[in-house]
Amino acid sequence: MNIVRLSWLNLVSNKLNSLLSILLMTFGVGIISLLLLINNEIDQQIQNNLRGIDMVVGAKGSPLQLILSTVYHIDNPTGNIPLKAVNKIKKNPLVKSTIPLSFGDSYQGFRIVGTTHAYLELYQANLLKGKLWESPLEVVIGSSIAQGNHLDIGSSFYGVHGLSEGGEIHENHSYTVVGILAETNTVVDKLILTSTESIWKIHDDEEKADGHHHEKEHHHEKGHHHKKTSKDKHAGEHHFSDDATITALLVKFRNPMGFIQLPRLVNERTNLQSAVPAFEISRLINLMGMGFQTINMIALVIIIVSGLSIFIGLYNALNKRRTELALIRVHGASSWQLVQLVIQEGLILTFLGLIFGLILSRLVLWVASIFFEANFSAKLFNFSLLGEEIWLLFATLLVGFFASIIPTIQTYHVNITKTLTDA
Amino acid sequence: MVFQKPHFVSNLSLSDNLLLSLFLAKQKQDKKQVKNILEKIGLGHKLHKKPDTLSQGEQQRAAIALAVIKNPDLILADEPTSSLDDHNCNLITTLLKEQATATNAQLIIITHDQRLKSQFKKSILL
Repeated sequence: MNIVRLSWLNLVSNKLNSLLSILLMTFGVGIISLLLLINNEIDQQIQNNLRGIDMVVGAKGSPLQLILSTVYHIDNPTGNIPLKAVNKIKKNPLVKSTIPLSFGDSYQGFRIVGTTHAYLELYQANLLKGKLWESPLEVVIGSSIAQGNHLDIGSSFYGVHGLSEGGEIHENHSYTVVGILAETNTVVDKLILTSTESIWKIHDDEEKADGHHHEKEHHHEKGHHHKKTSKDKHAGEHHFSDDATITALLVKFRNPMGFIQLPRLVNERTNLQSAVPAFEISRLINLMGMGFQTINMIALVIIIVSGLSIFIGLYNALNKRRTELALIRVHGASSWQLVQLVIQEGLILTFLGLIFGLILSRLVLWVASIFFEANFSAKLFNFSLLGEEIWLLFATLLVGFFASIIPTIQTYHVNITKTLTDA
Repeated sequence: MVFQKPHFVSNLSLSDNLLLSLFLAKQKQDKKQVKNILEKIGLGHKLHKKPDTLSQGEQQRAAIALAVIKNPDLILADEPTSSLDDHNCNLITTLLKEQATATNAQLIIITHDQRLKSQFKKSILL
């Protein structure tokens, strides 16, 4: 028997009160911790996908849409831009390197992106097996697609027009898988990559076959006319003139001066639109941050209510137990041992709520990651504490401490003779 | 110290109450000793019961066990037998006397109980 065990037994025999305090604490801590984890997860995903892209050039439209569609591949593209205009940007001395992107087709919901090998270097995507695409219609697929057993090396498939399933199938050309990429934890995992020429070839030939009617249809859909718009359609060979188009251009600057000059230059002097991902994403996060903050406040209130519940629990118990405390003093306990007893009860409740809360948030995230398998990879689920959670830990223990302090002071001043005589 | 009305830590079992008393007196927490003393006063079977579930007489006996378990030098008893029948009254007085002799402790009892008069040599009448 000692003071810690006595605290514990006191809490156990007061089951309902203790349970309420712990539950409130668990939910408060759990919600805040969950938000922190999700925030951290999103931040990581955003940073992972953002690296090395200083500016995106695309067709006029919403800058956020341009970023979402080209960097994160979660929105529809804004339209197409002529290769000629793009080449002018490439020549600007402030531009270090550029990567062209052409897309608008998909296969089983996975986007087919026409680009150069530099795109793979950008995301440090290495081949797991096979080789990189060399001639048109050869594709390399991301790890998620390979894992899902949709495709393997050597298999071929038809692209579907549009970015969702159920579109029109481009039947005259099939793609062949020549390589599979290792997991990168970026968007590349969910992309089918090929050369820009593949995209041109498919749409160019289709146009020839289907004639004018089809072309009209294509024009209705924004961002989907990667075909060359050259009038010289009868040339047997695929000669892509400067009239060819791409969807967007990813740009890396040579130095920070580029951030100041180039986006404005593109927006004012050309028919194109430029967007800086870092800026657009911080705007987006600010918008989401409002929601996060509201939930955070609610969770904070729950933690404070939990602190109150602990306070009321201890305070009530104290009034009932005044005689007992005096008795314990008679048996030889010092005032400080009683202080220890009461404050321990408060802190044990707080601590249990805290631990359960942290476990709860991770459990929820784990269940969610099973549920939305595609969006969270199991690897990202970790039990380690985030930096912010250590603050949460201290703040919560502080709430528990302050909740115990008034009952503790009263305990310290229990008048032994008076209490025992009155009893 | 034996109070007129028995007091316990209600959230602890009888044996835990006795162990707590030993802990607070910084003495060895000997479970055998706890068992022995409770058996002596006829409460061996209530070892793990909460004090609230004991009868008045049992509680009074337990209170005495609580007072003497740490082998004190001085035992003060305030109406220790007031709520007990003759049998229990004898048990308690015997226990108190035995304990006092065994540890060479002084024993002072305040009482209205006429049954005790004959058992003690020294008494001060007020």
